[in-house]
Amino acid sequence: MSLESLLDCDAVGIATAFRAGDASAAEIAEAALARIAARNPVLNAFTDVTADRARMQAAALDAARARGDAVPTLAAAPFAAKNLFDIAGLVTRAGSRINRDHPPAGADATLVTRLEAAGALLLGGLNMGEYAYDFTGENAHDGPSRNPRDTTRMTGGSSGGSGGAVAGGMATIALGSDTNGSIRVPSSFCGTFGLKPTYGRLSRGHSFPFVAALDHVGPLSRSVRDLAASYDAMQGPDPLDPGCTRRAPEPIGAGFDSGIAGLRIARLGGWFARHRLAESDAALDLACTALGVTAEAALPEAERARGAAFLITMAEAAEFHLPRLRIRPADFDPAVRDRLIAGALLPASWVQTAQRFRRWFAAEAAALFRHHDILLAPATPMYAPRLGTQAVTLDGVELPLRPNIGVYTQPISFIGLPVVAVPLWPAGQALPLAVQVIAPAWREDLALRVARQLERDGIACAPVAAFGA
Amino acid sequence: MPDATPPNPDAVIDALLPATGIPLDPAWRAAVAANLAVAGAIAAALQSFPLPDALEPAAVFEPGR
Repeated sequence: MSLESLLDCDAVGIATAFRAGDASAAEIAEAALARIAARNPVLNAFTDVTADRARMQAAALDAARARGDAVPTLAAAPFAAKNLFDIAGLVTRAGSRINRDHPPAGADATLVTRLEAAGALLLGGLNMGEYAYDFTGENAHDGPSRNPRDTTRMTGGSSGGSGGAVAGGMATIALGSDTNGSIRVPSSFCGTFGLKPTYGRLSRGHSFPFVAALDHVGPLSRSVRDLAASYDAMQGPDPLDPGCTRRAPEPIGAGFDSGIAGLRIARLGGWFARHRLAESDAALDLACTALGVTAEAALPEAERARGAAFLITMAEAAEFHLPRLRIRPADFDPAVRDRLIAGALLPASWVQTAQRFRRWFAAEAAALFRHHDILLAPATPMYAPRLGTQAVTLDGVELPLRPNIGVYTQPISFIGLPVVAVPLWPAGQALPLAVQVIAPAWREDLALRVARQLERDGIACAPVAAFGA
Repeated sequence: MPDATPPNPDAVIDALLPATGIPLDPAWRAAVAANLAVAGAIAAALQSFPLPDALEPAAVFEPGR
């Protein structure tokens, strides 16, 4: 297999080839860096490339293999991280102009450390919407991430470079963060698998925050086995993140491939059946047909749940950014700044009501999971819109596009449920749209099993986009 | 009890902005007011939903508990 073809494999596939001696880590690293040099000027996924570090890590892997040491799970697989994750020696931009005046990070983010310990090769930091307050992948300072499926379209955000790097074949795995949908939206628009784990499952240590009550971190990839392998490699408590669970790791191993026999799966109706466009209907129908799903479930008050997430986001983010808003308001992306200033003016009772409502809604979801093991809903109402699009018509009403990209993702992250975003292809090879496979808290294993079933059935896939097509 | 009515965004800006210390360029005001109006409508809908007195907030949130 040529190195070019090898780069189109998933992370486990590349690690397997490396283990078998089909390619050295140095060769893989050089090929991956050459591909970034060729593709990134178009896709704008990487904001920093850590070439020297990748070469050093590759040399260490080659030396270890030559000594006969055990080869780790993700050995020589190229990965990258949204630029809100600290990478030692780089300034952590968090998509902003303001933060690039900070000194370089002195240490790596916990998840970067853990993926590197599993053998993966870090290639750099990835473009994102400013301070993660974004669903488009557009960035006022670094330019937009461009969708590898069609470079005139949005990647989705805020983990836009993460979706672009994985779908564009520049990384096998990309780290993203998801507060209201920022892993699941780029997965939907770019056609990648994405895992937003249970709130608190994976450490946010040494990443730049957005909304502490709602911030999650997780991987995007081109296969379910890569989600599972990277998820297993990244689990574990971390004193650096006060929200990180103290539960022992629950590795899924090969369990993601154990089928769906006995699982009670339903599609979500109500709020999740409104705002549909033909493509989100078609994607959900594809998944339901493949899985034999006929049941429909209702998660009550999802609209209010979305609203509550909206208020908590505004208020917490505003408080967090208050020092910057006082001193450098003109240096923010205007779309972010105006929401943050409004957030600084919210009455405390609004936010407290939202927090109380969160507990009520979580209990409703838990009750629903007594009757179902998995709930399905689209990740986005629409295919990736063209860059610069400002409005969308949903249910016959013209609405601002940006906030309405997340109508289906926001109520779910609000209560911390684990979700795998599974890319489906309602219009053949043209554009993807993901379905959310939603599981009860702490049951990522169930969501991964259903995602794998859809992948095994050939319904879901995330091939590298043809470059220059 | 009557439902809460969303406050006038301009009145909120005038009343509260000085307490935040954020310098507001007049050119930004309309967008800030629009965002406040959206938030106010959401809050009114949220506060019209009867939550039990015994329901405590999820300020420290641990899924599954």
